[in-house]
Amino acid sequence: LNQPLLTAPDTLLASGARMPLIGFGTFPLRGQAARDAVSAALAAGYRSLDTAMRYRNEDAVGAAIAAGTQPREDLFVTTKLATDQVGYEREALAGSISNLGLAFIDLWLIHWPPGGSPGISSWRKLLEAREDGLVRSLGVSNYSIEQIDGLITATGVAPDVAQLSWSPIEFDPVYLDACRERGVQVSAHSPIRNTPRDHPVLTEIAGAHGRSVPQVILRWNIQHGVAAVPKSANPARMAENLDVVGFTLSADEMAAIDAISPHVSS
Amino acid sequence: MSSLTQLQSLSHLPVADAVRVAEIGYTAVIDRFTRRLSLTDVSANVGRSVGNAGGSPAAFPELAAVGSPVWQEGAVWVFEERHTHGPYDKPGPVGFAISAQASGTQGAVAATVVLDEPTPRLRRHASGLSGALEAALALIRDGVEARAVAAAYHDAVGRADLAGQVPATLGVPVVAGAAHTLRVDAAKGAVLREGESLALMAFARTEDGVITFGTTIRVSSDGAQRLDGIPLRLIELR
Repeated sequence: LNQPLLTAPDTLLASGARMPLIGFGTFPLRGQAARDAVSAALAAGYRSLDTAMRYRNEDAVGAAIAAGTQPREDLFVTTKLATDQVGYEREALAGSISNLGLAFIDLWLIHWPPGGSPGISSWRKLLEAREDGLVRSLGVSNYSIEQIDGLITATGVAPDVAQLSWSPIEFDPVYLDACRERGVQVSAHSPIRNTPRDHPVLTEIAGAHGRSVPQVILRWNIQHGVAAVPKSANPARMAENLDVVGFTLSADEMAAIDAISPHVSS
Repeated sequence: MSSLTQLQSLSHLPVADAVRVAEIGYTAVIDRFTRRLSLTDVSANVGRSVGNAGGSPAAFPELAAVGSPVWQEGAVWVFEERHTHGPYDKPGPVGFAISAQASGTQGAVAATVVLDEPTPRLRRHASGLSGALEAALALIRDGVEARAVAAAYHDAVGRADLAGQVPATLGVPVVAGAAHTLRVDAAKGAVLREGESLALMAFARTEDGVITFGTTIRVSSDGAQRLDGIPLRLIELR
């Protein structure tokens, strides 16, 4: 890409680390396709990369990082502990670190609540890994507030980040407020996929700003203080998804998008 | 060669695509398994995931011989009647298999989950069965007789305090060919050949419940190349 690099705004996590609000999601890319996409994302200006043990692409993400010119301190790399690794957390982390070719992980998430439980034994292992300097920030994925509270009650430590499937149609102000009260940063995976792109509210707002519907959705997330990790293997769309700082949604527009969700009462 | 590198080096094989889909089905079970689910719920999750991945449930009649009796719903197979309906609020293991087809081939995996801390006895039996499957895997290579693989498996079962829990069986269907199947126990004199793909299903009916582990491999001159990456051990979801 010969375009100027774009930069995503970032947020301060409870751990003290700064996390870009727009990251690059890598599921379900694998192998060379994953490596090429991550390289293109880095060239486009992404500095936050989201992978998982489960995705089987950590080595491809690592290869793209190694081939890139971005200093390690400028990158924010997230990976996730697979659900079937309860009791084997440290071995799994060692595998992720090795596959990524990094000395530490910026953000390590429990990918799913194991068996629907909070996964307290795994959470303790994550905390140990952070104490040992292998991980900077910790979090969970696909957790309810009750499951997050289970971790806090057992250990006194809240996740830095809670990632979940989050788009206008899934917007839940109660969840967002509960996370804020606990100092937990919400992060959206599949931020664009689950809401119809032809939704009239979104197309009207996109038209008013001369932007695409995905850009409006990502901007809506940023203005809610929610991080997002859109995935695209298309370099033009990668750049488009990162280019969401040059416009602002009005309070009425934010409310109209919020109201797409069945969780928001009109 | 790391297991991950091995997986990716084999990703061009049609059977690898079917195994990838079966493994996605496994993930759909593991990631969303809770006490509240029923087999129908689990199967629905798996069906969506398998379909989204470009595959479909596969017939797998060999499982009936390995872990008889079996109950199938979609791509999911279970081996105990108590696991055919939820909730999974009883102690003990839940063994299941996933069979899927894609790219004209078939792949299968099997696993056993527990939602509570396993008893020492269950851990011992699971470890023993896992070790027996590993013993079979270690022997597989081009030119080896299938019955030698079965013998290694049963020797390990005998050493692992599982003999009293039998039938601990090992089924080895050939999935590379469309219809040709082989069970090691029954295949006197059959010789494994490079390029064949086999689904190995280890199965034991214990006092605590059925334990099963399963993987799909490709026979090579260097040994068994696993096409999936699922752990061959008890999966503790707690």
